[in-house]
Amino acid sequence: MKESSPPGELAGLTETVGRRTFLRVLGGAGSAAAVSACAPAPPERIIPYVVPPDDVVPGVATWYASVCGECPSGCGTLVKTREGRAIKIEGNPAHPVNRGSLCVRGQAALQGLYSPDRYRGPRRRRITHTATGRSVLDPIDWERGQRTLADRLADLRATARGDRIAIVTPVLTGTLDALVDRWAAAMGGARRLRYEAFAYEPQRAANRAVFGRDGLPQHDFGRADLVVSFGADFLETWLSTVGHARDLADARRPGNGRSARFVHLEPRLSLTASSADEWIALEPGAEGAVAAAMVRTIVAEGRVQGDMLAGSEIEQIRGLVEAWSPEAAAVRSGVPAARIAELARAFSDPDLGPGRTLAVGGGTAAGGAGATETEVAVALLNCVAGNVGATVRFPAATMWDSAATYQDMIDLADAMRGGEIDVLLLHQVNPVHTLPGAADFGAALDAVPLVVATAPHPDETTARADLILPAHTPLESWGDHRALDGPGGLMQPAMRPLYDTRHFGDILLDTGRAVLAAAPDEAATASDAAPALPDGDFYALLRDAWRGLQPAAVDPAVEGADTGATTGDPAPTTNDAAPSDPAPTTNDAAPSDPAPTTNDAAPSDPAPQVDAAARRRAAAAARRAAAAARQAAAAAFEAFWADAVRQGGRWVEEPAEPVTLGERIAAVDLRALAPSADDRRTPTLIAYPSLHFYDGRGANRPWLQEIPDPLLKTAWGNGAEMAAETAAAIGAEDGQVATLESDHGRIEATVVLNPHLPPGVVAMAIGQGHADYGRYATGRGANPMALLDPAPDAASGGPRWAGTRIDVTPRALRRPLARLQGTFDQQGRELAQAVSQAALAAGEVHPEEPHFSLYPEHEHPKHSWGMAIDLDVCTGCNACVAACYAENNVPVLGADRMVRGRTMSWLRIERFVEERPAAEGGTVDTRFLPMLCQHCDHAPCESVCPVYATYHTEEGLNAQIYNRCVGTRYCSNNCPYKVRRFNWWDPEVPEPLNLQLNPDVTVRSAGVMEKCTFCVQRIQEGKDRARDDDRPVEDGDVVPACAQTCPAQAIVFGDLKDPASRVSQLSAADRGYHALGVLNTRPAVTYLKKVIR
Amino acid sequence: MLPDNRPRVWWVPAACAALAAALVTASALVLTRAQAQEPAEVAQSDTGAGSAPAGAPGAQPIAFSHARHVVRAGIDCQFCHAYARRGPVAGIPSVERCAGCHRTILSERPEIERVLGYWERQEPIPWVRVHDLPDYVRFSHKAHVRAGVDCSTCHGDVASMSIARQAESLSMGWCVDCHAEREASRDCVICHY
Repeated sequence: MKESSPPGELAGLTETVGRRTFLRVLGGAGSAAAVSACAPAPPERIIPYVVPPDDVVPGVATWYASVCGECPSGCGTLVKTREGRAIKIEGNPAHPVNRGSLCVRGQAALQGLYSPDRYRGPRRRRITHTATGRSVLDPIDWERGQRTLADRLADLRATARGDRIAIVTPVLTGTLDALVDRWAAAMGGARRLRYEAFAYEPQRAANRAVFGRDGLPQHDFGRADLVVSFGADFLETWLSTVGHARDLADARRPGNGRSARFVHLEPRLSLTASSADEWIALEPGAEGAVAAAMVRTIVAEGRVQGDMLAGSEIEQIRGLVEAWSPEAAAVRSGVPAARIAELARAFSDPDLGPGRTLAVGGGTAAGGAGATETEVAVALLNCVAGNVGATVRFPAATMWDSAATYQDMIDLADAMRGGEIDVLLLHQVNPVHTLPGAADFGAALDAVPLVVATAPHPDETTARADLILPAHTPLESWGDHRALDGPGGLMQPAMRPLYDTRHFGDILLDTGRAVLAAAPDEAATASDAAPALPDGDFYALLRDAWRGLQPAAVDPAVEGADTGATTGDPAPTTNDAAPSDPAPTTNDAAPSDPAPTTNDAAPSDPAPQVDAAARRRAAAAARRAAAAARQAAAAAFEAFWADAVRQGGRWVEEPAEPVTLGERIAAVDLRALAPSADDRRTPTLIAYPSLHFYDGRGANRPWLQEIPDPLLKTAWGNGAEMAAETAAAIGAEDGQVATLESDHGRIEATVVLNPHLPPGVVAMAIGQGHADYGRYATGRGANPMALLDPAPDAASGGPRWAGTRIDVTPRALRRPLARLQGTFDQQGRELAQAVSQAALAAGEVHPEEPHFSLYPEHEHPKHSWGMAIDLDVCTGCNACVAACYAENNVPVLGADRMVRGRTMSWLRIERFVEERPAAEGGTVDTRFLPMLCQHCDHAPCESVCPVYATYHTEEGLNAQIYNRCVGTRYCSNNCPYKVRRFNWWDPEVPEPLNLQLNPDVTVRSAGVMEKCTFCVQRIQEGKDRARDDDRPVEDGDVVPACAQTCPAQAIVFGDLKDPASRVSQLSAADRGYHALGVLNTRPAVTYLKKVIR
Repeated sequence: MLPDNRPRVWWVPAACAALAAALVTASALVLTRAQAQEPAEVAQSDTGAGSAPAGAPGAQPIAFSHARHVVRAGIDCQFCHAYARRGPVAGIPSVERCAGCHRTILSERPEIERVLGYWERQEPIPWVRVHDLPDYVRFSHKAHVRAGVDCSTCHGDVASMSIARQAESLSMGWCVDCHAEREASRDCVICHY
């Protein structure tokens, strides 16, 4: 089983073993053992460094601050490296976006770096069979690869056909973004697109219409006392999810003195909806009607808050929403009119004051017909509640201002098909997978003579590329992530490149310079100010850009650098025009002329009358002063740079710009929110963004595949989700394969029953169904993009994720998905408990009765480690689970084993759904219960282990000693929490994924039991640090991986012996209880009940 | 959920594995014992550096003598094993560290020339490991140095050894005895996790 079989294959055990086979195997094994006993084991070698690196102490981690590259949010990271290899990523506590936390995708970024399918160097496609189009990728060297590209570019540029070049990148910021722009301009006006599958086109179009502003505002969830989300999955993929989760948790964490409410409207129970105090299920596409009706109610009842709107503007808004009375919206949405009016009143509560609520719209609500109008209604709602400028703030510019729309991509594809594009450079985008299949980007690629891809991993787009120049992954790259006119996160490579890859910036610089060198003159005549590309590499460019971000010079030494900079500095970095200039235009300020300027040191020479000798002396003095100032400035910059690199960036509060109602609002017609009159050929498809895979880019990370979806608890695939009645109507059962067919495409998917969907709706997660994305992603699930209507939303140019009519035909075939939780019903066991806010306020809590125990009490002389998990703020986002996989070398099993019910996860998030009585608003109450080893004081597992492999330590841990374990599995049988995992197989870790393994944690072999250790290696490390400082262990010294990454800070760990520790206080809180407390296992994990608001 | 082609006799593969494992373990045990005795014999002929025949098990690429460096030259252990007080691994000196002194000291000796050869080629010296703990043991030099445990407590009188050899058994019982004597923690998870 250890040979080359892919993970999940279970070849050996699927046969019935006969007696003869048994004897044969036994004989073979015996003789193998005998033979191996004859040869002495080769001596183990110790290979020392030739020259030891300064910042490496073997066995001690080195951390590098950087920026996460998994989505456009730009969370700050701290990358833990051991002996030069990145082994764990954590959030950077100093970074304002994520404040120390990371999401599940950020945790799994390591597996992008160590993907066994990565390109190991540049490749060129060679057609081996013209008729069938079969081809192979030949390795080439970088010089030839870049020359192939540069030659073609030079040819086009020399003949003034630069517009036949196109470059598509993700939404980038900072230095790299500016460089791409300069490169595109230098190539003679190449087309440039910043493509993201989730580009929020309807919201941007709505902001243009309502505020006359492009881009997206910042949403302050921490300030709002009532959040109303119209489909926006802001805890999953919608903008800066980690920051949102932290803000929302802080605004409602019991004990913080605040209790923000959160209402979510969406037809499907999404993860974000699950965290809402109230999930209002409504008709698909009716979110905008409800928002408009809320605006109408607020205006009609004279409850407009704040002073943003003038009287005439209020009248204008009144006219816009006139058609949407609560009654009309009730008909459209199915939400009672009284409920809508009540929500509107709560949203404009004068007692709260203006700017204390927040409405957000997005997700599938902004993916169907009327998407832009929905966003317009949401924007108006924020206007009338006085939220604009408060919880909704527009900075001067955002990275979304210039993001391409789906329409732009369609236009590009048309141009490609029309033969208008000769060279297409694709940087880490996968439009073949992420665009609707009917847009047929793949065929458009085939029409381009030279397609160059710089993706580090093979995907559906690189499969059609002619030349692959693999760029570094973000963990190997320099870069920055910042607002257009300010500092921000600084991305630093955490390790040397694993393979023969290059920085994308360097690929651009090298090819660009080669092109410019090929025909320098013609270009200069073609456009009078052809922006040349700078000398040096991308790193030098980045440093130059950050020179301009240095805080305004306070010491005169830096001030003097301005004059010094013009004197032909021999330093290797290029002279930049304004090293101490606080002006934001850093990249453009870099010199366009790389030649050193003449040495005119003293332009402000003040003394024309003095004699020549004095003049020389003065000039020499001025030169010396300038040199000294230059040195001081260089030193000041080095200090600033070192500090910024160490901190992971520099951040300033971005000032919000005042916005007013734009003029184009007059053109808005909210009647588009009415249901379309097309035939009700059911069902309707809703393709929703995936928490784990984003737009699909995460699908080749085995952790993201293996960790079950937080809602359906499915793994290694997606399904066609539908309510039982929908399935019954088409005659399908759970686990049955069905054919989904629309006018635009056809896929096969497994039917997954989901009770929290409206009838007639089929929901599918985006991101699976890869045709060519490495061993972990290819062939998993299905891609709903194949079914979508390719026509963009007319108003915004965005894709239409929702609303495509499909036919579903069940097939006589079962292919059930791996499902890790059998029921979402607690069956009366009260595992995940809740308490109403009123009862909590009134002190009506029911503390657990102390149980009598026959066992002697444990003594914990020094520490008693414990954990408190707040179910009220846990959003079930799986970040902790991924962190646990990364920290503890938890094996990945693969789909086949998981379908058989196996999992190795030490920490799982159980989900329970309680139906809520109609009197409390109907719908459901979802509870997430992170379940890990409870480290019981009276642990049932300990007493049954025949070899003392599991025992209670004097610090309160339930220890599991792998080298003692003989694998009886009695402990697992006796564990009421089912948190122990048995290794039926040796872990399969294909190279180079093994480089990620945490060297501080044993990689368990087959035959032993394992489970959560409370990250005992981190406890040891924390104690070690304290002892180094000659002080006792303090609260916060030990933070397990799960608690460290939790975006909502729901998990708190510490010493229960210390009465002042946070965990002691939380464990003693009114809401505290123990899971299955009736068993008297005395767990060290205390759960805090969810609060029903 | 379970497929129908599940093995009918589920314990058979497990039994195969268990029997095979038992055989392998037994033979490995015999082997380990034999090896453990070997260095002791070699070390008896403590006549000078390089006495171990080249190619013999345990032969080092350079006939390095601790005795000359510690006793004659008076070099502290941690001058070369510089990480011992800073991390879990004591560290084998880098080639740069060796060459740093030997470029000027005794650089004519044939054995030193070999060291300098490594330095000139910028190659690491592939030392043979003498003290090897099982992979499931987490040992930290730093914690022991901090607690004032002398190097020789575990490594023996290395100062007098021409050829480094393992002086103590490094077995768990040996560790635990010392921990008991010094009232250090004897929790399993101190070393096993």
